[in-house]
Amino acid sequence: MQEEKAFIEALLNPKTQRNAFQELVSNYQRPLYAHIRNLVLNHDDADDVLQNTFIKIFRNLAGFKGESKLFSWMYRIATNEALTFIQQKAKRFQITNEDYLQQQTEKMQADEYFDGDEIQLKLQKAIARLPEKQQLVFKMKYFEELKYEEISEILGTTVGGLKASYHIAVKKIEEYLSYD
Amino acid sequence: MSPLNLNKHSKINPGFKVPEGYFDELESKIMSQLDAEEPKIIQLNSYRKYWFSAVAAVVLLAVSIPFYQNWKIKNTPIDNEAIEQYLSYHPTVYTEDISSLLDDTDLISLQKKQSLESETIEKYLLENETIEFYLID
Repeated sequence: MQEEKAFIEALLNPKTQRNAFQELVSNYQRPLYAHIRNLVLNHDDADDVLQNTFIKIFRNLAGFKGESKLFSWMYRIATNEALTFIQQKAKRFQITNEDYLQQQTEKMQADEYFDGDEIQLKLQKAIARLPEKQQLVFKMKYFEELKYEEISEILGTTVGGLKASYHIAVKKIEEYLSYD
Repeated sequence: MSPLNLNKHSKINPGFKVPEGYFDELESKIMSQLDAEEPKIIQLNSYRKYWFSAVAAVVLLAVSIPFYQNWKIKNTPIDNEAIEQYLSYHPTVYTEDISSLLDDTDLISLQKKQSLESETIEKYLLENETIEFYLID
C-alpha cells in the first residue's frame, strides 16, 4: 500500500511522471490487454482499445484521487473504453451489443489470432448468448480470476449482485455446453 | 453426454493468441503517442484562452454600445433647425400643438416676420400657374 502511494506520487510529479508511466504500461499492458480482449474478442480491436485506454489513463492521472486502488481505476477505464467500443460498432450495424458479439464469435474460427479448440469456441459462443452484464461478470471471474470485491470496485456493483449474475451465467453456459 | 460442470471441469481458457512481439512494441508505441499528444494539449488550452478573451471582448463591446449611444445623445446639443425639421416631418404634431406653446411675444415676432415676407408671397402667387383660380375666387 505504501509502495502504491509512492508510485502514485511519482505518477503525479511532472519530473518523474514519464518514467513512472512507462513502468505502469510495462506492468499492466498484459492484464489490461487480456481484459479488453475478453470483452471485444478481436485482436486488432483490443489493440486499439488498449492504446486508447493508456492514453486516457495518462490524461486523467491528475484526476485520480486515490479513493480506489490504481488497479481498479485503470480496469474501470479499460472496461468503459471496451464497452463504448462495442456499443459504437453495434450502433453502426444497427444491432444490439449482444448480437454484435455473437457475430464476432462466428468469425472466430477464421481468426488467425484465435487458436481455441472445439470446447473453447463453444464456450465463447455460449458466453456471447448471455446478456451483456452477465458476460462481463463471467469473463472477469472465470477467465481473469478476479475476486468479487475487485470486480465490485471496478464495476460499482454490489458483491451480492455479482454473485447472483455469475451463478446465473454459469448455469446458462453449462446448459449450452452440455446439450447444444 | 453428461452435463458439464464448470467448477469440476478443467479450466477452459479463452483461446486467444497475440501476434509475436506485440508487447515488445506496445510500450514504445504508447510512449510515442504521448509525446505527440502533449503539444496538442497546450495548443487546445491556449485556443481556449483566446476563445474566452474573444467572447469576453464581444460581450463587453455589445454591453457598452447602448451606454455609449445614451451618453452621445445626452452630450449632443439639439439645434433649432433639427427641431424644426423633426416637427415638419412628424405627422402627429399639429400646428395647434405648436401654437399652444407660443406666448404673445412669440406671436408678434412671427407676425412681423410674416409681413416682411408678404412681398415674397405676392411674387410666388404671380408666378404660380393656378393664380387664375385664386383671382376668380
